[in-house]
Amino acid sequence: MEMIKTQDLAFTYPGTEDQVNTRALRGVDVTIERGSFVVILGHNGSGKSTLAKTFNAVLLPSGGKVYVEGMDTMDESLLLEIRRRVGMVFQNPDNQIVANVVEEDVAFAPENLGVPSAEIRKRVDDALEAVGMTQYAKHAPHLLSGGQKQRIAIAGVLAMKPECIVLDEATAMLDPIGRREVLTAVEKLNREQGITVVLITHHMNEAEHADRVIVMNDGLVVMDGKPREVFTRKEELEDIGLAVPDTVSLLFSLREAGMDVPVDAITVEECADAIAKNFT
Amino acid sequence: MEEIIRVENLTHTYGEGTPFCRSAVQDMSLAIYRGEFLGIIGHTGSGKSTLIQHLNGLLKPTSGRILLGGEDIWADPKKIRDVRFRVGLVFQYPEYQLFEETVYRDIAFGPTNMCLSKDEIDRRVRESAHFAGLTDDLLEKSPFALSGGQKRRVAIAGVIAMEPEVLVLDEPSAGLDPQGREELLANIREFHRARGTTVVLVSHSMEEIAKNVDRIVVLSDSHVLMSGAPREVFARGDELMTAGLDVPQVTRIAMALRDKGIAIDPAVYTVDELSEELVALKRGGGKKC
Amino acid sequence: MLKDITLGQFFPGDTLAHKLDPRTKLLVTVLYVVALFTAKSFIAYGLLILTLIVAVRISRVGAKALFKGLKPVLFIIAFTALLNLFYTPGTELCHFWIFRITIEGVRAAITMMLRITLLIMGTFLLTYTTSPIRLTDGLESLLGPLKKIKVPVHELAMMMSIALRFIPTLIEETDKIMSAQKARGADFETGSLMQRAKALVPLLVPLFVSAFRRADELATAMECRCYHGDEGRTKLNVLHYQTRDYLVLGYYAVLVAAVIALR
Repeated sequence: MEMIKTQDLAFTYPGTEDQVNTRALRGVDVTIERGSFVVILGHNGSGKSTLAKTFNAVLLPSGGKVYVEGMDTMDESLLLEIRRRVGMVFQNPDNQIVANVVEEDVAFAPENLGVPSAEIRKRVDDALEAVGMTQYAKHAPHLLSGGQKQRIAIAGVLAMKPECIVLDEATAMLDPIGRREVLTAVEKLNREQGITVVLITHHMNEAEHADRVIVMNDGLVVMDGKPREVFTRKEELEDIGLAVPDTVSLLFSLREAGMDVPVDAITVEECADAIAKNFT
Repeated sequence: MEEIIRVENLTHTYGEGTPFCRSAVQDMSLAIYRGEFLGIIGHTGSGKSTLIQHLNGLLKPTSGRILLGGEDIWADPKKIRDVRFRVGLVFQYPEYQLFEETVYRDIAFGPTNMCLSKDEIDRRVRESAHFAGLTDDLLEKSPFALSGGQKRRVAIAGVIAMEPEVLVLDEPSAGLDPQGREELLANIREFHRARGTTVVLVSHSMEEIAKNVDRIVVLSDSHVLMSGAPREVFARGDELMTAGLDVPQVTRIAMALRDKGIAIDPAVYTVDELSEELVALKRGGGKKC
Repeated sequence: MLKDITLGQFFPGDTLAHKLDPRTKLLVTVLYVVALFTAKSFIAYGLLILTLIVAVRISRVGAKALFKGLKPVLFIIAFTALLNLFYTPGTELCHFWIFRITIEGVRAAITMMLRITLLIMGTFLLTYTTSPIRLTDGLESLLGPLKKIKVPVHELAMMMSIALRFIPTLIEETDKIMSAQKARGADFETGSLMQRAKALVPLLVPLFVSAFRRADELATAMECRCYHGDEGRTKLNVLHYQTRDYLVLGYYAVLVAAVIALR
């Protein structure tokens, strides 16, 4: 089953006085399967963020189509339903928290959807539980760490009971600890609740556990496949301003030196195992 | 080596006398040497932001002293502005501090505050723009019309233009993509090499620190946990991980290999080094230790 | 440092005064003020003082905190009291130089002082025991009927709560920009008024730019979470009057009636 499908999708940012129009997307066809964990990689300005924003009608296509479970995002009467199904977490944790108290913030979306109070209470509790933030329910959000704020934002999306969560560079402003917190939280949601996750990032390491990696460059999809397939295309990735993980670099370098190692061992453990085989 | 900054038993307490009182830095001592490229690493809340704001006198120690060139920077509080020109501090996400109509005037803000002559300001603006990797055609543009990466370079140029003796950068590459990150750090390395200015790079990315600095200071829980050359620090990978810090991926591979009984030096931290070590080991017959 | 400013006057707690419905507290405060300004006799004032003392005791807000709230207006209280003391015509009590003190003057001065003090303490008790967000909720609900005459009550309440949410963020940001500009030699503390006003430009421009960016991003984030105004909106915490609210409201109604009867 397809969760999101784009057809020859184009998007152009209107230019200002002295700038010409920017064609951020130039004919993108991607299909995101239900329940999958997809990472979209690309350097700044590659169009990855623009693509993400078309998934729940924050941006509407200037050419082509985007379908969310078969619903056309151009159809205004379906807007709320599309946004309920595809929740979005943004980059700056401070600019997406609406309320003064954590639980009230998580309740914001179901309140907008007119969910009855008792049901909202249940959803809020479940959502906070799912991201491990239950003990912060009554806290003021501005006192939390970046990673915690982003988990609150995820909980706020979860309370809509979405089918899909899109994280639009949601880890870019976090420190390594915060980044890990957020990744662990979404990996768990994907695994345990079967929620489709689309993670937009430029950190290669975050793609290690994905089902699929889509690489964007200059408004186009340039690579699409399993992480180990994509990461072994070292030169192509470096050409478009992305760096492969050090594990892959090391394996390439060893192979050049004549050692018999695979190049698709992308995690530290796999890599160490692969190298160790040469010494037994 | 000659010390340029010495931090002596520095303690800083926020909100003293309130229930929210909390020491961000506690009895911290360290030295920064003239001309070195120092890395300061620590997770959020380890006290690194508080520490660096003491180096140029933005914060006043609750107790302890900061010596710049052997003199207490707070000896004469009226001269604290001069300290700020001598120790240039680039904050995290510095692009949010731009305010002038043109890039040129924004970079000139610091030098203008130093009351320099017009010619001198002009020289400094052009030179620092060059070091920060900005092309001349950008100078007359509005800083708000630039891309995120360019804005950051303008902000960094604004501090370099004060020609400080020490340049402190707090997470200069945060939020940039791998290429932007690498280019920016290359610019900073080049600036350090060409000018010989002391550079302090604050980061929570071990990879970034590993690739750039001569010496590392590791902060944890308001204290200096360890300091030394990258090799020495990364050799203590286990301790770093216990303190909640990352070690470079390469070091983690080396550690995993050692756990498997392969005689590898755990202090290696770059891909090339580890690769060379492994190849040499293989030629040597792949002995187990 | 800006960070050290305590914002809002809310003292969290779990007393009856805290638990009361914010609408009850708002109404009761209004009733109290009405009673205060209709009170004439000493018995009436006695009742009002007693009521406040009991309320303060229940709320466990320290008397110190309440008196501290009076500090900024102490001058006004003293000034009005003095005016009343010297400029009320009536039976002369004593006089020196150009001042005459009358019995009526003494009485007027005392009642004036009492009124202002009680008024301020009463309203402070409201803000001390009610969090800004509950206060906003209470106001939105109380003013709800005004929606019928096209007053944008929901929008105003939403604006107020977003403002409350962003005050700490913006203060932190101001602090940060100020430090960053100081690091480039900006001087916010010395110089003439003109120079100081000019020195604020490097602070205000980035602050405004950032506030607009935040507003823009927040609006998108709110829309992504299906915000579409007041229509069909429900609430996590619905306000419900409880027995205690009716009892407290009843008491104040009786108080007002008694004060009027005692005129």
